Amino acid sequence: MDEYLPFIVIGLTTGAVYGLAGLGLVLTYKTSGIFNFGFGAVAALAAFVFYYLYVDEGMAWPLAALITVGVFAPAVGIAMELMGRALTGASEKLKVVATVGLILVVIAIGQFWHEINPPSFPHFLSQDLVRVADVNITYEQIIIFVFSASVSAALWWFFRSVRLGIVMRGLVDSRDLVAMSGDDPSRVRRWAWIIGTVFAAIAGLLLAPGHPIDGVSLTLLVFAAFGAAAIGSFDNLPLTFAGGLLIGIATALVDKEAGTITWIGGIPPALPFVFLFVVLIITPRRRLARRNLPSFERVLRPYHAPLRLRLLAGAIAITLLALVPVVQVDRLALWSTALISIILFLSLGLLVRNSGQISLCHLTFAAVGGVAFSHFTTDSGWPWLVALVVASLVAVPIGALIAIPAVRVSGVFLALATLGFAIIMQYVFYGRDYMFGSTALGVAAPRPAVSLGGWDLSSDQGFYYLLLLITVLVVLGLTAITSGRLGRLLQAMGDSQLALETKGTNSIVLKLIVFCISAAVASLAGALMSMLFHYATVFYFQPFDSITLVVLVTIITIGDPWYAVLGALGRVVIGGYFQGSTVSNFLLLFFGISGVAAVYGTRIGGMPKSLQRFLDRVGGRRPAQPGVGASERSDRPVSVPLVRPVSATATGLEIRNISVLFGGIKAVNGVSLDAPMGRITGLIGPNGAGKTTTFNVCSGLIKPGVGSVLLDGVDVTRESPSRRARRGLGRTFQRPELFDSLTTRQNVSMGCEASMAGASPSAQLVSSRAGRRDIADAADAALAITGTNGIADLQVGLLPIGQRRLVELATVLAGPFDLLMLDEPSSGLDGNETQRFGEVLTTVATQWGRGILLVEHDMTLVRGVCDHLYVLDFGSLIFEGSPEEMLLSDEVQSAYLGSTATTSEHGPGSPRSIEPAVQGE
Amino acid sequence: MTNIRGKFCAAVAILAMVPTLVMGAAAASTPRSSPRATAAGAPFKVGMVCTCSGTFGAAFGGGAAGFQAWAKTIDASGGVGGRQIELTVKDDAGNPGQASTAAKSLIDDGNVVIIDMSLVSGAWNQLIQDAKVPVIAGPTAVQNPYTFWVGQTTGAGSGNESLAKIAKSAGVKKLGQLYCAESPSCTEGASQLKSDMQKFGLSVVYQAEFASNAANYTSQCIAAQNAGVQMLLVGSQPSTISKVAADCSTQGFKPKYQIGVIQWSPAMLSAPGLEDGTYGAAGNYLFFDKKQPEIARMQKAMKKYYPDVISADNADTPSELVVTMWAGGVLLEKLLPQISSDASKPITRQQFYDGMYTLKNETLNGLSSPITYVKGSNNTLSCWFTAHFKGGKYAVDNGGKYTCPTAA
Repeated sequence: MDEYLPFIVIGLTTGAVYGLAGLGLVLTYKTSGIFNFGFGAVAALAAFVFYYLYVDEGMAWPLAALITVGVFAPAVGIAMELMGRALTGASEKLKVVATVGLILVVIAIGQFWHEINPPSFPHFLSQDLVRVADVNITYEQIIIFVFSASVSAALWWFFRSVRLGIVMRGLVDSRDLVAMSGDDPSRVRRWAWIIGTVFAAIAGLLLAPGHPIDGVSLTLLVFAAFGAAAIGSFDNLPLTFAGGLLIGIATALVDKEAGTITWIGGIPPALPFVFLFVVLIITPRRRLARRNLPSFERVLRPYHAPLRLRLLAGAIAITLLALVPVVQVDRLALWSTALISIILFLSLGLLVRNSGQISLCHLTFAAVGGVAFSHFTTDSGWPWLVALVVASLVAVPIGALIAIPAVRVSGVFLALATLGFAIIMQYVFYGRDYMFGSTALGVAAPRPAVSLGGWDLSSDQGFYYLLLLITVLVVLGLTAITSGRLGRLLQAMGDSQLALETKGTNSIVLKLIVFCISAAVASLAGALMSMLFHYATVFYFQPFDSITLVVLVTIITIGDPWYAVLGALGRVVIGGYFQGSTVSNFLLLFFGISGVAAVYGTRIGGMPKSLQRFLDRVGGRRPAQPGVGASERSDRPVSVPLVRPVSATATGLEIRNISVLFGGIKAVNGVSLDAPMGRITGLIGPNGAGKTTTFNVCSGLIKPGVGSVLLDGVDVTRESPSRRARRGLGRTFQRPELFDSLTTRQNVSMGCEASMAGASPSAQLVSSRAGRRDIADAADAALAITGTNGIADLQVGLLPIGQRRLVELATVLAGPFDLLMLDEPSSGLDGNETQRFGEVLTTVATQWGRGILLVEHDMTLVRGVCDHLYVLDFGSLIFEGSPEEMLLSDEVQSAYLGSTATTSEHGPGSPRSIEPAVQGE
Repeated sequence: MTNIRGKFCAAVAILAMVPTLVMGAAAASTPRSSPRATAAGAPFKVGMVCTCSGTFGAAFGGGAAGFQAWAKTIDASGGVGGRQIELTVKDDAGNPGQASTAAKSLIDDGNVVIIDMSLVSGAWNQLIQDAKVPVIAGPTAVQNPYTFWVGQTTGAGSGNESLAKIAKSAGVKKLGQLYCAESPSCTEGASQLKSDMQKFGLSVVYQAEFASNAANYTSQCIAAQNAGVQMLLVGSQPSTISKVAADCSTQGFKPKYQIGVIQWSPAMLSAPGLEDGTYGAAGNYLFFDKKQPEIARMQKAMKKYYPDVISADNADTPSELVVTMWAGGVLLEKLLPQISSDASKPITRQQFYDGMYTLKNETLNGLSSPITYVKGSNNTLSCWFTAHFKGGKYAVDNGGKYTCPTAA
């Protein structure tokens, strides 16, 4: 033990700074719901300011530190709060892009300030020594440790005992609740950002001495805080501080052993991410999802020009690109790189744009392809085409590996996992012989020594045309994929994974498919890049460049595949036409600022309507017919032909004695109920009675502590939501879960197509003609019965709540669902709409023979349509019987209905307690 | 291929540690051509592929400035044998693809000789051999029959012998080595060190990979101290080397250090732990010795044409890389008049290539060990100069005389 003690002491002193940085990171995440990837960049910015004051201006260090921490950092905190406010309700993707954009901004500032050879500043705290456990410790290290530990303890106390701290904790969960308690949510959040930013600044000043003052070094150093935050589950402050200490100790011990175990030498810088990766894999999904709130951002539907115009534009683009070897012969390598970048952007776009996933390790996939191709050709002597194809496929299992965290988590955690993967690969694996080896030149990657007629593929010109051909093929291939079923499923998943799963699609399989395809295409790009320059080298595959790729794919809002073309021009071509790094720095700054402001771009972005109309007219597309109003629809007959008979074996839904515990509270307590076919069964009760929780148990979103769920007599208690959906269980949500970027018809079609896609990779990839016909027929019938024909071509994300509820009903009616669970479906409908809604439900149950389990507060509707009722209170059943019997029940009267129940138009809905805020938990 | 890789690795390992010269890169990062010849003779076209921007841009750019300063000095004095030097610099930014394009462009433009200031020379190695273009080597050049070295060839096999001899002269027997994790080149040299040192009766008792941006290096210091290290070899950037020495010094561990002279920067002279007892080998004569006439001439030119390179290093001494490039210029100065006395006729690549083999024991005014290239070989040099820090100042070892390997 004595042998290790000095290293533990060293690790504690270093880990204290990581812990301190982790505290600030978790603090802002807890209070804003935004994980600040740019936390290290903020630390670097503070170090810039301190250096300027302390070194350039010759200011005394206490004064320089005071100005940095006391004035500059709070100002940045206020700016960050403004950014955070703009991101309220934005998607996780935009939150990640905004904060990684900050990294690019700070790197660019650093490069403008000291383009080369960034300076460093000396230690400013006392370097006098104390001997502890056979190791000399400076007073600086003691001060840092004591300060960090004290701050950790103080923050822990602050969040538990001080009103502002308690309010901060509540801020993410419910902004309204904070407002109701008399506090200004913006003020509280601003304070949280200020405190968090001050922590970042302190960490920056403490870590910076002796290090180059640039954007990259400190950002990388502060990444250790991410691991600390992960150990604290991104929530627990003392545990975060302990996590920082743990990382510090582990790093010191690995450094110690690196002298005898050589292969661990590259691990220390990647160690925080190893912790992070492990935490993301083993931490229960429920805990990680806690701050992953639903997005309220309006989703813009991408505009697609008429096919005729798109083909014409494509032909022009290909022609122009084909002329490059003639008119830009001196810059052939530049344009070749641009073509490869197009492939790279498209592969990333498949993830980020089409499916709403995030990957900060995309160039790592490309690196795998590059080195694989090189080793296959130079070491194994494979023919180039075979090597190219296999090199592309080599990344597939790696894509599947990354899909593991993607399956479990999404948004910020997926971004963290992929960033961690990229950094681990760089530090631990890039230098190995089976990757780039031990030279800066990398490994040789020969071009094809093939000549087809006069087309020499190994020449610069010949290889350019080969790249152009491959790029066109990739564009066509990915366009075919995204235009087909897989594309529709991905877009739907990007909008609402929950809705997709509860309609029958296995999202695990879907994510696996998309990560594997994306990785394979990126890998192809990596192999081509290596061939272009004859060598696969780390130069082309730096992890930080993946950040730029993600930012560009997000901020360029034009449609497929043009965003990739524009991205390649911005990332590769423009800079290539200018010597020196000034233009590159300006571009980096521009990309960074655009990333930070991406949320505004996605709100106002997209093609102007006037231009869309012009293109439609030129392209021969007929203008869309205006939608039919709700009043017109309500006069239409509701009778429609039965599309699909109920399954002969369908008997309905039974739940037996289910109980659900949330912490120490029993949300559902021994509930049993039946919802047979052809009957409308009501489930009512006051808010907080456990109705939605019961629904979530039935659909598989919550696993009950005890009890079982039977569908058509089969025990489905342990089955996934998608499996239950495919067995015939459809549901709607209290807050409609729709695919907001799709039209009404596409949403309704997805109600049917999602279960057809199911869990089979082949079924998720392609659809048959007969299948598409069935989907169209089912959608037509569902649109007709719900009277939503008139809004069939409108984007659902732009519809009012009443119409959204009708659309959600139509999606479950279109699907192969025998048993429908409808959660407060009439909420937001007016009187006429509710009456018509009731008629639809009755038709569905009586004419279509389907079973309905209805949660509803509108007692008029309940009494009008329900054949049988269950009443829940405090998680327990208090009544079962007909609507008439319910009215005579004293227990129901006192617990739920009250004295006005029989005359009230809408239900009582007494807010005795609050149902779980996040659906699906 | 193995030879090329090995050679390249060792070279890059050194470059990973090159001291940075702040403004040099800025000066060299923009390709420049000297003014058209004003002398009557045909200009002598020289191209340079330079990693003048990117991570190593500062160091390489500073080195490039050394050759540019020589060219300006020569042009200002009327040229070499009546010929002006027409220099074109192409920046490859450390990108093999750009380097290849740059080299091809210089070859196509009819440059007679190419100066290699590129980190990724391997990317255009084959191009220059195919075009039979002579190359004057920088520190990371690749060995081939068309590349000519003007200082000790990195990776030629004499590198570790110089390490061993310097260690022995410093009176140590147990070596330790820390090498950077970021630069892939660091690892390969490390694997050879143990066996090479054993040949000289030295033992490597501690070797570890480390990150250049670690919060501190105390763990490595204690581990090295516990292993009984007497001399520590540190392969990283100058600021990291200084930080390692400072952290070790804090722990009371003050071994001797051996850092290649090409990595030395004035800031190291005052770094705790380094100020006394830091040793190193140089491929060319020592950049700081103003008493040496050619070094004095070089420094005068640098002050005139690239004062920022000198001032950026916070002293009046440019780095060793500048000396290597200046030596390349001196080689042209010696050779061109020998090749052709008729300045009106352009010199061809073949003439220049053949001319290189006419040099006999040429020391480039004392900047190099004697040079005699032999046809059919890789034109390498294996001798070195040594120096150390004493009392916070640079000191010349061995009276400024070069040392050669035992077999040489």
